[in-house]
Formats: sequence, C-alpha cells, structure tokens
Amino acid sequence: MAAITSLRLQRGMSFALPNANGRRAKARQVECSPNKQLNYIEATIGLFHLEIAVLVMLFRSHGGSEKDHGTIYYWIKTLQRNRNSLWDGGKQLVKDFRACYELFGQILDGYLVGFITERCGWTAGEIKPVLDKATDVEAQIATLAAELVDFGQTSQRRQQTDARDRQHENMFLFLQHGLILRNFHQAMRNGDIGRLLISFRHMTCWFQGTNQFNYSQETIHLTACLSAIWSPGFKEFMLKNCLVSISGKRDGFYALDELNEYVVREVKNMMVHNATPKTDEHLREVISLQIMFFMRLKMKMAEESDATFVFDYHHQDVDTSADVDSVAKNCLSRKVFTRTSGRDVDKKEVPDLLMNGIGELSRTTRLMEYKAKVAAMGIRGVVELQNQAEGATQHQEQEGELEEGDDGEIPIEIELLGGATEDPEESWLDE
Amino acid sequence: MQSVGRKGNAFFVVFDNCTASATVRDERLHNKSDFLKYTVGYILEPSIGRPMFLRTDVNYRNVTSLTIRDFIPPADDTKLLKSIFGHFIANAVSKYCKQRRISLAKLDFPLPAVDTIDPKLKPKVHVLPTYDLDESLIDDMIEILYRIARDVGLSEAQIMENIVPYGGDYFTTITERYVLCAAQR
Repeated sequence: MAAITSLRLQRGMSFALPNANGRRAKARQVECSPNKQLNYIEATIGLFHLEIAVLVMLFRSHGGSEKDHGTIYYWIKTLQRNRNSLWDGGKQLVKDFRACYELFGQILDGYLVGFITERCGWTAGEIKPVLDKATDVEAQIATLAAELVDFGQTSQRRQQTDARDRQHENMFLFLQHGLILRNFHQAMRNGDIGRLLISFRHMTCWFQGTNQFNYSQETIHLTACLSAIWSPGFKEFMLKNCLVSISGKRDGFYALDELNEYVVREVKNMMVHNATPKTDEHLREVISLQIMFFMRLKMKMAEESDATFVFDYHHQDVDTSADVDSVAKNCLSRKVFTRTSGRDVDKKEVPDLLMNGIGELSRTTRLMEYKAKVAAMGIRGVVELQNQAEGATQHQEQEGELEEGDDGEIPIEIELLGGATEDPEESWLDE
Repeated sequence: MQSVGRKGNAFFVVFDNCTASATVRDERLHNKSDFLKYTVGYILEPSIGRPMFLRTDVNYRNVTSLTIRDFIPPADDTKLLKSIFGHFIANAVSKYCKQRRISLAKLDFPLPAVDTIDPKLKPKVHVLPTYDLDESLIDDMIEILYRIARDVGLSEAQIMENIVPYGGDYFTTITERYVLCAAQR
C-alpha cells in the first residue's frame, strides 16, 4: 500500500527542500545495490508539451486588455470566442491547446492576408477586388518574407524614441512569433527534424527573457544535450525518434508525448463507472496493452468495409475565411500594416522575445552557472538548477496571487464565469 | 514485451499520468468522490535496430565546451527561414483566395525539407500495462521505473552499463531526474 503511506510531491514544490520526499528517495536509492539504481535513465522533455509551453508564452506576451487593438484578448472578443474555454486568466495557462492554436493561426493568417493585400495596392473597401487584379503577389510575398527574417528590426525601431509605432511593431512581432510556432508545429507533422531545430533555437532564446523559468532551464539543458552532452550517435537516435508516424503517412508524425496522450485517452475511454477490482485489473494488465492493436484493427475494418472516410474526416480543413477576412479588414481599416511614425495608440508593448532572450543569455551568468554546476555535479547539477527554477516559479505564482487578491474584479469574474461554464461531466483530467 | 530488452537494441520509454475522476452521486462519510491516478506509457522500438547506448554516450562534463553561440540561432538559418516564411505566407494567401473564390495564379513557394524522417520506417509501439501508481509520489515513481525495467526485460548488466532514453511531460521528466540523482552520493 505504497500509495497511502507515501508523501505527495506537489507540482511547483521545490525539490531542494530537505523534506521527507528527499529523504525517502535518497534512502530508497542510495541503499540499494547498483543493479537496482536508476542511473541508466536519460530523461528528456517531450516536444508536444514544449509546444504547449510556447503557446502559453505567446498568449502571455500578446495578451493585454481587450480594448487594445491587436492583443489576443481583443481578437477573442472580435472573433466572438469564449475566453473562459480557451484561456485560464487566473493561472495564465492554455485550457484548450487545439482551440488556442487554431485561434492564433487564424489571427496570423488574417495579418498575412491583410499585409499582402495592403502591399498589392489596397486603399479602401473589400479585399477580393484587390487580390483579383493583383499581378505581383509572389513578389510581395518574397519581400514580406525577407522583411520578417530580419529579427533585429523591431528592436532597432524601438531605439528610435520619437518615431515609434507600437501597433505596427506589435503586429510585426506577432507575425514573426506566429510563423516560428507554425514552423515548429508543421515540422512535427512533417517529421522534419532540421526545420524543428530551427524553431527550437528561437524558442530557447524566447524562454530566457520570460518568467517561465522551468522551460527556460529545460531548453538550455536540451540544447546542451544536443550540442555537447550526448554523443553524436545518441543525439542522432534521439532526434530520429523524437517524432513517430504510426500511419506511415508523410504528414502523420506525432511527438512521442503527444502519442502518449492518445494512449491515455484510449485507456480512459475504456474505464467504466461500475468497475470492480477484477475488471479494473483486467483493463490495466490485459486490455490496455492492446491499444495500438485496436487502432490497427479499426483501420483495417474501415478499409475492408470501404469506410475509410471514418479516418479521413478530421483531416478536412474548415473554412476559416470569414475569421481571416474579419482580422485582415479590421487591420487594413486601421492602417496597421503601414508604419506610421508617432502613432502610439497602444499602451502595451509586446516583448521582443528573441532579442530579450539573447540579451539575457549574453549576460552569461545563467550559462556560466549551468556549466559550472553540471560539469561539477552532472545530473545533480541539472536537478539543482531545476529546483531554483521551481522556486522562482513558485515565488512568482505567489506574487501573482497576491496581485490578483488586490484587484477585486478578477476573482469575481473568474468565479462567476467559471461556475457558469463548469461541467461536472468534464472533470476528467490529464495532468 | 520482454523481448525488447533481451534483443539488446536501443528503445525509447514514454509515460505520463492518467487521472480520472471517480464521482459519487450521493456522497457519504465513507463514500467520497476521488481521483484515480494511474500511469500510462509505451515503449518505442525503432524499425532499424541498433545496440543499446552505453553510459559513455552521455557525458555531462562536456558542457564546459559550450559557448553562447550554441544557443543563438545561427546566420545559416536565415536563408531557410526566408523560404519557410515565404511558403507559409503563400499558403495563407492561397487558402484564403480559394475559400473566397478569388482568382489567383499558383504561388510557387515550396516548403524546404531540411532533415526529414522516413515515414515508411514505422517503429513498433508496445503499450505498457497501466500501472496503478501515481507518478507524483516518490515511492510510486521509483516503483514505476522498476516495473518498466522489469516489463521491458532489462537485464542487470544492461541496467548497470547502458543508457535508456525516457520521455514525457515536464513534471514526469524532472521527477525522474530527481529520483535517479538521489542515488548519486
């Protein structure tokens, strides 16, 4: 009955504390023989959860007030989404990853379509006639792509104190962040490690300038593993197997932890409310091992009965043109795509994640500390740095709670709306 | 599944928590709603086998060679990113035009393939038994790791000499590291 006597390790709890958990783990591991020690494990974070953390970072960076044009909250209101089903304002976390990613993608598409339309000579009215007549769309796309890969542009503009246009700068950063995220997502689907690493390098820098201390530390460690810690053979193995295509389709790759979420979902779906210890054991020890077999079986049955649409319907793209059109026209009417010196209607300035991150890394204290601890202590050094990151996150969360407590509006809003939307049937949790 | 370890080839272990609510309609003192916490995972066996990695394949002392350049996007990425961004912009515009029935000439912005995995090399996925253990408890986490080693068929020699990659979410990863580093004096 280990589960009853064992102490719980809360998320966000610092491992560094000389608590009962630490003593217990040490006692159990130090005293056991070498063949029972766990030093053979090389633990690495999954890419799917990394993507979720990046989306959280982007929602936080491009958040703000729904009254400020161009913020995520503004678009949630304009595109009539349910903010409470997408985003947990209290914890500042993504509630529904897929819905948030889709919303982010639609805003991005709206900006891109609007930008190109404006460059093709839009002055007023609808988008259709402009694109219908446009002859230089390819050239405009190539020009915009070239402008967007200049990641130092916004920081240079921000140094000009008298000729600022925050609205345009924020939109430009949104485009850069959105395209890097889209590349990461699509690279995972396409099984392209090279493209994935290009985005990963940007994301590592992004995390350094934010308050997401856990992933800031973890991305540094993963980069160190890829650059120095792992042997070339081991690195190759890890990269070639971090994505998996079960179907064998070219665009059917999943991150390993994403595939595990599928397995978790299938196991949960087979749980019944009237389970007995015997049926529960049968499910866990016998049936759950067959999850992948069941999946192949379903596909085979669909194939043999010509019902292949069963597995194809979710690949159909939905028509997002109304949302894209709404975003593009909204921005065109406000001339967001034209840089207007001196325009300062936006109060919020979106952080330049890349430049902030590079600035943070350039101070070298973080890297020096990482190198010193890990070179001297190995994996224990990594864990010690994790503890620091956990401590910093915990401290930040406590401060956030205090700040929220001071503001009377936020808790009331969350309480009222949370209570209205909560469905007791949907209390199945992942983590 | 025991054959995975016996073969002596490298494989990947992935697991995560699986929390389900067990609700009680009419709660009483001795019948309360609770959460059922299990651990669900699988073993990924690559289609092309290669021997398991040795402890020497992971060397933490090599971090001394790291410089800031290892962390900053290199200039070489710019050219590729330009093509990638071009593709995504063209894709967004084409999709919009198609949905709005706008006549637009076909845009030629191919997505560059940098280092792709061959989808035909389908790996084997062996789903592990669902463990009635909670990864957020240290005792349970140690038990989970022992059970996986036993279910996979890792020998004592493999445990002492080789390296096995484990994956999962952030919390699973740091808990694994915490447990395994507790063994180091």
